[in-house]
Amino acid sequence: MIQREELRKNRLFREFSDQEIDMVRVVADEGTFVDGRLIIAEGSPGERLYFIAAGKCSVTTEISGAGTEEIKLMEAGDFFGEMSLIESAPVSASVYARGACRLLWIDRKAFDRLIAEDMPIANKLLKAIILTFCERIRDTAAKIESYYRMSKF
Amino acid sequence: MEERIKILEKCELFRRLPPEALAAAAARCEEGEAKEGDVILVEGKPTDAVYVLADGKVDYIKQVDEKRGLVISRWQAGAVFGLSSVMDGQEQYVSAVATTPVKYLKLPVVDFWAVCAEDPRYEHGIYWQTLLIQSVALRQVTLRLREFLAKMIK
Repeated sequence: MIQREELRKNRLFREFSDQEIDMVRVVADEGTFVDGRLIIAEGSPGERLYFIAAGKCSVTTEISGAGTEEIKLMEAGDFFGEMSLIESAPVSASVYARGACRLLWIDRKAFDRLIAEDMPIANKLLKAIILTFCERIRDTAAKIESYYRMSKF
Repeated sequence: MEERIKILEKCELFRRLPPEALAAAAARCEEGEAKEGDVILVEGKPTDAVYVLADGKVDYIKQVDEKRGLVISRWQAGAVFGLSSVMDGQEQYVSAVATTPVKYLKLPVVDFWAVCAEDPRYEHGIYWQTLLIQSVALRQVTLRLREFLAKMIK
């Protein structure tokens, strides 16, 4: 079974009590992915929320005229796949294993159940996702600025 | 007061609040106006409130150098802005600029958190809607990044 500490290292669960972590442990799954393995594909229906326990994952997107570009490198403690679970929309970027990586995940049903069944857990989880969204929005906006400046040289 | 409640009802952020919570939020709101060209929220500064656009249009503009700003997204009545800054307590990542005469409601930061603290169900509803709003914002800013990269490559 997945260890508590492994989940607690993820930014989503840092504020969780042992009891709350255990509620996640019982519904979480785990696996190892080899270097270059596609974990989720852009445009596909997202069905899982992934947590990186060890290793790194590369987030890529298709840029018209340029092909595939890496837009973010994620590492242990990060998570991905949440947008599709929240919006029920297709995945907005592809994610690949960068080197071997160990991932934990919960599927859509387990995510929906966690959110629906326990209000304190749901609110902690949603707040942690919100804070990560804030960071991603800021990072992406900052990239626009830095690419603009680079384009001027 | 009824007018304020109607404005909040049309705003996605408050969609999951029951009538009594909407009325409480409306009572905490302040009304404001801006002229075309006014900067309502300034990039690099923390916001003082969550703003709900009641009438008019607002652009989100990212400053890319001393003279130039890029439009990241365009908003109209019902939109909410300043939310990321309220949520994480950091500065605005863009400026919010009125592109027409604008009327808005502002829910000061302390009052926003007071509404959330009143009932875990209110907090839950607001968080859930915040995620949907942020999800759209993230997609928009990512789309602008892609368009910009494609333009650079050409």
